[in-house]
Amino acid sequence: MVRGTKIINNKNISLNKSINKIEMPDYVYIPLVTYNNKKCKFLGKIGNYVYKGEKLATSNDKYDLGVYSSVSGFIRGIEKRIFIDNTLVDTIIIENDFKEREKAKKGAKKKINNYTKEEVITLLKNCGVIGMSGTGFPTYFKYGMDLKIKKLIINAVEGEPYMTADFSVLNSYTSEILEAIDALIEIFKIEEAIIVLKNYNQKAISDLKEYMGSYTKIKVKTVKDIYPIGYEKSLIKALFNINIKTNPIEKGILVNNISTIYDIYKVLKYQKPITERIMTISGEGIKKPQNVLVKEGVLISEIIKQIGGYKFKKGLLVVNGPMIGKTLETDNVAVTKQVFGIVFLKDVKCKIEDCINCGKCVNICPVRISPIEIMKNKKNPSKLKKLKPEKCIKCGLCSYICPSNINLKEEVIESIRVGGD
Amino acid sequence: MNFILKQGPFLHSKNNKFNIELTLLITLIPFVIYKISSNLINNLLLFIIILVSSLLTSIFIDYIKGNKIKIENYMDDIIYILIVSFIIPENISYLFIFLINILISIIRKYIKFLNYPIVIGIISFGFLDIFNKSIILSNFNLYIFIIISIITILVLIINKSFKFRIALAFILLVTIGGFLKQDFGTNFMFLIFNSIYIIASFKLTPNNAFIQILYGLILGVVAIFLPIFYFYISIILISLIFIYVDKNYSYYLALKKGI
Ligand code: SF4
Ligand code: SF4
Repeated sequence: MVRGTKIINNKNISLNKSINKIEMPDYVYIPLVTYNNKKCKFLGKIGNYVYKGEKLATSNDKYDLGVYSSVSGFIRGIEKRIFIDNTLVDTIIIENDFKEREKAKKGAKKKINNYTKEEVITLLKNCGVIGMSGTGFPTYFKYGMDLKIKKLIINAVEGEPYMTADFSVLNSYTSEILEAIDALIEIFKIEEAIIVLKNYNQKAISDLKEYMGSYTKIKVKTVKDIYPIGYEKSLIKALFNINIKTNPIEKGILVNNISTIYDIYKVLKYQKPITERIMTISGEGIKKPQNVLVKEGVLISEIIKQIGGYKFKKGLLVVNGPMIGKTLETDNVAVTKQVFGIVFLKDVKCKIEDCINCGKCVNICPVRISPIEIMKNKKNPSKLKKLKPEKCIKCGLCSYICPSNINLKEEVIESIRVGGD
Repeated sequence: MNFILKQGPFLHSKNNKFNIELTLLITLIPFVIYKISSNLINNLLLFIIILVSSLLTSIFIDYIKGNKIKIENYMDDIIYILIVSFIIPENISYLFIFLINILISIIRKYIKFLNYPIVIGIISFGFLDIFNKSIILSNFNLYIFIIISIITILVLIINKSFKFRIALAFILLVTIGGFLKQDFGTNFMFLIFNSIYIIASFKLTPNNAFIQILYGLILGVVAIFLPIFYFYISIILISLIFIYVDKNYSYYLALKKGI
């Protein structure tokens, strides 16, 4: 059985609203970091003109990922700015000329399924397609692993409370998404593709079913509305009742987020780097919660100003949802492709009490570790070794469920640090 | 704008400690009302004595210690008072119960380990044999008791206020035992009440679901075969063993790969 529980989801406030395009600002701020916060090497020169989609920097690691300009204009400098994880990172400042000039304009492809595998992998790499569920893992790496892909799982579960970006992508671009999945099936000789949604998502399910007749290898499946069922291994267990011990691809299963599939569509169709994304701006502190299409490098303050501003002056500005996200000390921070949502919440004070030994954290942890035992043995390395805190996926469910309001997730993260010392 | 830095998650389940205790407290009320109504004057007097002796002692100790006197700090005491009011023998001396409650309240305040109904329950149950348990629930109607118990169990399961796996496993075996022995009298009713508020309470019980079921089953077997007094004593031993087993089971689960 997959572990998890139904949690407060507060999705209604931004659900079923059209996607609002954020106007381009005068400047964009592109952080010089890629997957796993890896620093990148700047390839250009300050003062140079850059085209939209031009590669600005590259990561010097095995993933060899690029950083791309989301506008055309002049590079005005590089300075240390606060990144989405509150650290200071080198950031390229580009003055927008609002011309959206591209170096080499390629027309849209009529058919997107006549690429070879290698061409697709190269395109995904050169266009900077990454996992859009917040991990930022390079998508080309998954497809390029030289293992047979039997099943493609398209994760449209979107477990984080308040978040509806994936839902709106699916609703707005259903035919494009199906076209991309169909192309991937053909190019990679995939046996079947399954779009997975939560069972309450009736509108999307019926919309998808309308198209299904023409795509025989694509199926729609639903899973229970529990958190964190969107976690890759939980999703696979819920679908096939198999326990994945290493990488799902070794069992022939590849999981992509629905927004990643939409990016794959754009890349196959237009062969241009991905420099924008759809994200949710929500929370009780946002005047008009909604989903927005925003360019990479736009400041959060700018986005929120354009959609009507904040409702109150003091609160928690959280990047990537209230369960896994982190608070920011300022909204003067640029969004990246890893940001699927921003929420502004009231700071509700919870009294932390002693553990009442209810066992809820133990029985809810999706990876079956014992948060309370880890917390109790934080200073006991030999016991900690047996309790395997490093298995934690930082879903936050233990802290959510704890009746004594103990932040077990942080205790577990802390114990990983202690254990590593 | 003032952006506060804080560690997440930023949402919490509404099922907090206070709500859990409040649910336990509310579900105890029908049992206590039923008990009082079975011998109004005597049992009401006993209830008032237990309430006054326990609560006032607790409040007095907090006052001396300079602690804040807030209702949520006494939920535990009230639950204890209600449990004891239900299980207390009717022929007990008023003075004895007054003094023993003051003593227990002092112990509970200073020894955190004892600050939960389980140990108190065991101690109180210990008196049952001494004070002739047969008259305690003799006025009770089994069917009314069962109806109250079923509603209570459902409410507690819905509100996640006790370790339901332990309770259900234990009740299953005790019920089988009842059929085998053809005995659904006082002992049976005690064991059911016991399973809800003492055996399946949070403190001193295992946490892993599988171990909880085992614990409930083993205690059920013990309850069938041991005389009730020895059963209460064995709870302590069995719970300590199971807490040890539970810890090792956590290591085992953590070592397993995958999810
Ligand atoms: S210990 Fe980690 S994986 Fe387990 S519930 Fe807590 S945050 Fe999630
Ligand atoms: S959920 Fe909280 S109170 Fe319950 S066992 Fe875990 S730490 Fe203790």
